[in-house]
Amino acid sequence: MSDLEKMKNWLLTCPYLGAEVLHTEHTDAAPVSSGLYPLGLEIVKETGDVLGNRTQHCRYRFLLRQVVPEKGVDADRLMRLQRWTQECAEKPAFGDEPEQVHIRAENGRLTKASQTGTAMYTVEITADFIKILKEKE
Amino acid sequence: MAKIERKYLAHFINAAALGSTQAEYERLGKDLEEFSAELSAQVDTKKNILGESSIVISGYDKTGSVEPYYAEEGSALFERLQDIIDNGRVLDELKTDVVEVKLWKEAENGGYSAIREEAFIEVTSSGGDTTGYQIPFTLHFTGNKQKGTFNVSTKTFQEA
Repeated sequence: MSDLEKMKNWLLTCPYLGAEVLHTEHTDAAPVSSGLYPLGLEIVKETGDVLGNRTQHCRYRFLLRQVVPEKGVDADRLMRLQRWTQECAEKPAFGDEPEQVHIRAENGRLTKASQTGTAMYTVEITADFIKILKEKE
Repeated sequence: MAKIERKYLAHFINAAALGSTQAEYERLGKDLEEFSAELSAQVDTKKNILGESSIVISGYDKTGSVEPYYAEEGSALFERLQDIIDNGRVLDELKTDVVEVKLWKEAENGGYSAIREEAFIEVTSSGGDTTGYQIPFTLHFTGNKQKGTFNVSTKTFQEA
């Protein structure tokens, strides 16, 4: 299973997601629609040891976009979603040390409100994890 | 001439339990960005009235600091270090040996050129930060050495 699928499956377990389907890089104009947009991988730090192994501290960035029927109604739900990502004991198994995976959901906000009443919210999600590149013996 | 990569200088510490007659070598280096044996030579410099300097290097106080060392379940070295902490081991209870292996030299009969040296383990602290349970320690080498070969597959030292 790819890391993107792991992230989507994990978010779909969130009781505050408000969606049963999570698209990839796509949201419908009509509510309710949710999409997860991967923003790439960053190597935050890389260290090595005298055995020749490399440890990479990696970070995935995502944008969660949701189109909802009207602004104001979902703001509290999205705040709960953000807190849930920090507090959830089970995390997606990224990298080589699953116990070192840390997920943050931040800057949840209303980004667009249309004249027809629909609104779009976005939440920035980051996933920090560790990848170990072992030296061949 | 190519540089020798750091991974080709290996250090194996005898982590056998106290009282064991069979050596059990573990390689030092996981999560260790640097390990250097500091020779700390005893240098005596004298100048005579003619302006000539004489330098005498009479010995070494060799030590090596292993920091960080992350405790791992199932590791013989962790068991040895934890035993030192739990029982306050002192004197000859801290004795071990360290084999320095030159992996860049072609193996002879499965063994690489190596030197075994007696050392004493000084546990400097236990605990550490949130990255893991750490037991940094310092090795104090006695200068009591034997030349030989080390087989990295069987982890055995053969004195020459």
